[in-house]
Amino acid sequence: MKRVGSIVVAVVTATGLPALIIGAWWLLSADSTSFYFPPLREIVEAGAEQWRTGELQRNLGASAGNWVIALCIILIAGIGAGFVLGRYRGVHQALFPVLEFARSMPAVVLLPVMLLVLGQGRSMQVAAIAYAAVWPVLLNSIEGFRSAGSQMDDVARSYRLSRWDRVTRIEIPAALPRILSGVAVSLPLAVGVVVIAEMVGSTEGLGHAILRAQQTFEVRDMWFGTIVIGSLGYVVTVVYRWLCWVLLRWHPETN
Amino acid sequence: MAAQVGAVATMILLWQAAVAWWGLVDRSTLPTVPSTAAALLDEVRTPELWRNLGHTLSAWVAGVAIATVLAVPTGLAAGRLRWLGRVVNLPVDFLRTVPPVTLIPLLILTVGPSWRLSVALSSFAAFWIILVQTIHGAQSTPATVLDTAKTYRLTLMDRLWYVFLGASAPSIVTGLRLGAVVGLLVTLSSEVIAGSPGLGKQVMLAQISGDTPVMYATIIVVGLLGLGVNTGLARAERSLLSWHPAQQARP
Repeated sequence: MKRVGSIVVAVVTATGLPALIIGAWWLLSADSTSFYFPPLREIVEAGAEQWRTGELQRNLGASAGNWVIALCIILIAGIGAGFVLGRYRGVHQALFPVLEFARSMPAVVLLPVMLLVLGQGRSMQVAAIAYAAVWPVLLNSIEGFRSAGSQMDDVARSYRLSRWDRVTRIEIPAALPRILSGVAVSLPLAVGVVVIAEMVGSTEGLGHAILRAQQTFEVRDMWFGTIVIGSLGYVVTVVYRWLCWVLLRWHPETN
Repeated sequence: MAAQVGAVATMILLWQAAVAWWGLVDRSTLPTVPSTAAALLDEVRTPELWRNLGHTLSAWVAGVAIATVLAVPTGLAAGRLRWLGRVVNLPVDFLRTVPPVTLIPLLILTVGPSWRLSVALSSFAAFWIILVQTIHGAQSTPATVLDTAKTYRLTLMDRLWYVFLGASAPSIVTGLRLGAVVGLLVTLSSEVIAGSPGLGKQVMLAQISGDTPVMYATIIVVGLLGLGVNTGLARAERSLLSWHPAQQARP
């Protein structure tokens, strides 16, 4: 009985404040006549309407599609380049100033360039997302493969493991925790860039939808879209945490 | 060092070659190196560039300062008081994953596309990063250290200032650096998207008016600004924490 009680207390303390905030928002906005802050009930109704017309699903699909394609590019390019730059220090050393400049470049000012080169549309958005969000994966992969390369490599060599086995069984698993923590930063970052890219150069997607809703003064739709995008970042983070836990169960530091 | 200079020179040569000699890229998309350099020299002499740099820098600094003043005390309290930490855990975890740019349409309506929009957005972005790092730092302060300070009868003020804040400092400073870097990114985003004044707006306007050399020149200025902020803050972090054992252990 006591255990049940403590679980109830834990659940209430964890979810109490969010419930209170949402409840207060619902009640306080119920009679709101302010143009910018409509009642929460009307925002939810606007969302239900978007669902019925299929507009929400369409925008969600467009955003998620760009996000997934960019993510595949980020993983392949980031881990691949990280492997090369982590293993061959000379190359990394020589490219350091170029990499440092490229990584410090606030990617958002490159959007006008990408608009110019690739035009409005998917390829421009994917390029922008990939460029902006590749850095955490790349830098962590470099670090991961660099630290994996030294000691364990000597041991593996003396056991005469083949080159393929050394890479797949020792170096990649050894670098994996660092790579995964890089991905953890890149995922929500990429969600943010999806929104930015859609606001600047797109005619579809959630980011475009909320900016257009603002321009046409559809305040309820704008609020609903803002809430949806805001929640997506959290969903991505929670799912990824679970995935990391599964992937790293074998690792001594996890236990 | 020689290899680094060589790599930078190769990049610039490749740029020039692709545009001027091989004709791989159209000049209206990517201007030649000399014409970009000329545009950059012209830009540096106009008051326009410096005014926009001022808008960007002041919005960024104001945003990060507001975030720091709000986030550090909140984070220390939430990290020290267990019940408060548990109560705010879920909302903080949720709100820090909200992409700050999502709020741009809302802010355009309520604040208008202005300097204040940039300040509000960058302070929102930096706030959560600094808050999370501060909570983490405050929670990781060893209880033995606090107990020892109590047995030595340090006053509450001294305990809070020297012992508690000192032990949390490395994490807080890291949070300030990360918050500042993201704050700059978000400030520029608000300028590109919402059109609040600053370098981001200048890049966007140059693109719209088809003045590509000016666009690239401004992008180079923004890149140098980002590079300066990144390396400057990393250096400041190291010298601020030079007294801390974890920093001295580093090579």
